[in-house]
Amino acid sequence: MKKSASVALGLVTVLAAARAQRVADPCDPATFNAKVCKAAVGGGAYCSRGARIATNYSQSYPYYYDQYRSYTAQGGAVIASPAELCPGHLIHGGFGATGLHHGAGSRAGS
Amino acid sequence: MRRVVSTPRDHWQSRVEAAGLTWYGSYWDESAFYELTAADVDALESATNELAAMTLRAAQHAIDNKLYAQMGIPANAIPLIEASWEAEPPSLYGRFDLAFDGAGPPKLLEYNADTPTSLLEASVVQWYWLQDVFPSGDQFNSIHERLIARWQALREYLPGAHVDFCSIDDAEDGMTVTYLRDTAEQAGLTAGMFPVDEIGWDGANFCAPGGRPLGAVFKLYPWEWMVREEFGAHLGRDRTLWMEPPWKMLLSNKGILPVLWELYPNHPNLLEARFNEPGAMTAWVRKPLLGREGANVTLHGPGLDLETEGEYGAEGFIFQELAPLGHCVIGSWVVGHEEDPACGIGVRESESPIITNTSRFIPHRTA
Repeated sequence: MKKSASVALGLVTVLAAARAQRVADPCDPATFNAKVCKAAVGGGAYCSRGARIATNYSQSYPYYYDQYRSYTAQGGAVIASPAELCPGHLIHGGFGATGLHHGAGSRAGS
Repeated sequence: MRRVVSTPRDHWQSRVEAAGLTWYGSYWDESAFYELTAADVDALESATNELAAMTLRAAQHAIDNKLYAQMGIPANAIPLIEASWEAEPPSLYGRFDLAFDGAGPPKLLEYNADTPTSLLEASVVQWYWLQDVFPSGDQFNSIHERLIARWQALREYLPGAHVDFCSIDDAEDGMTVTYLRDTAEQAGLTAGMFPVDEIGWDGANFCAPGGRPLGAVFKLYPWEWMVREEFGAHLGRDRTLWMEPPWKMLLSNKGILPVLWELYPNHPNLLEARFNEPGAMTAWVRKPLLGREGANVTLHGPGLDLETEGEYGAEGFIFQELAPLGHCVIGSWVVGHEEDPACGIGVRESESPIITNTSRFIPHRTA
């Protein structure tokens, strides 16, 4: 019988922390995200945890998709990497679509 | 209150255009004016001040009783509304539309609390008309001075004492925000201006087109559209101070009318209003909760059935007692929403009992 007041976890903790910190590759079968992977293969980068990660994928997108399908067919679990926007990358046009063909002010309506 | 036929000024088109009203067409009409007595002005001013206070209580009631679904407000807007109501961020202005003929008390038709226009013509253009036609005359109109004073009072809330102004690329909306920008600059603030579709998102902040994170933004763009658009998912994730604030969504919604009637039944400045069905009303107006510019409005009464076209109504309707309305509506302006915010009026006229965005603006003077 093992009796101890506390069990210190050294390496396990370090490995667990490292895994939690690991940048989620959107083309990795275990963290596959189709939209982000496709953009990363085409654009040579993706963003994770606020950082821009440069990539050098050797294959085209269908290859990674097939890898992902094989992985899930074998019962592999997937936690899709989140779609993130790279710092300094600005997107526009997210407001204004509804008002494209209207005035947006209210002059009347009574 | 009486309507007086008048001779338009020579070259009136260039006069109103010089004041910024570039879309005058048949909209600006100085072939007549309205003359109001001091009693008329008192009635409009006191009704507007009272309605402003009542609508704040109605907003609190809507929040306390979670009336969001009934008012057609989507789930993602609720935390924005509640957080802004608690934080009390600044608001600038609003316009109560009132049925009024000088005989009975003013009756509230609706409250344009989020994106009211016809501001420039009420604040500036009709004042210039008065100076030309009745140089020693007066008007119920201190809108311009009150806007400047309001910006000065808001200065401490605006990061860097700076405001960015946004609207769609449209003559009227663009000129309205240009005018508001002018009043902000006269109040000592700095300002920028760009189309609403050029607002950017950098993953953490809403940004000006060049990438500068936004501080305070006056947007002439309805909240009910913003929360449903692509960037709606980012609202509340950054520190942008939006004006008008999100809680104004409750007041610009026609659903506030039945809420007011429930809280203040038979109030002299209210018309009976109900959600979804007319109840015992025999003469009523059906309005979409999120309707704009008189679209999809149905009028029903003895010998009267009228309907306007449009694209609203899927969100639900309210029914409101038909006002004993001539064919004119008073747009009664408030600046701020605290004590006694009423500060002036504009008068709109229509051939039809439904006032739409093409209904004429008629200047006024006080007797």
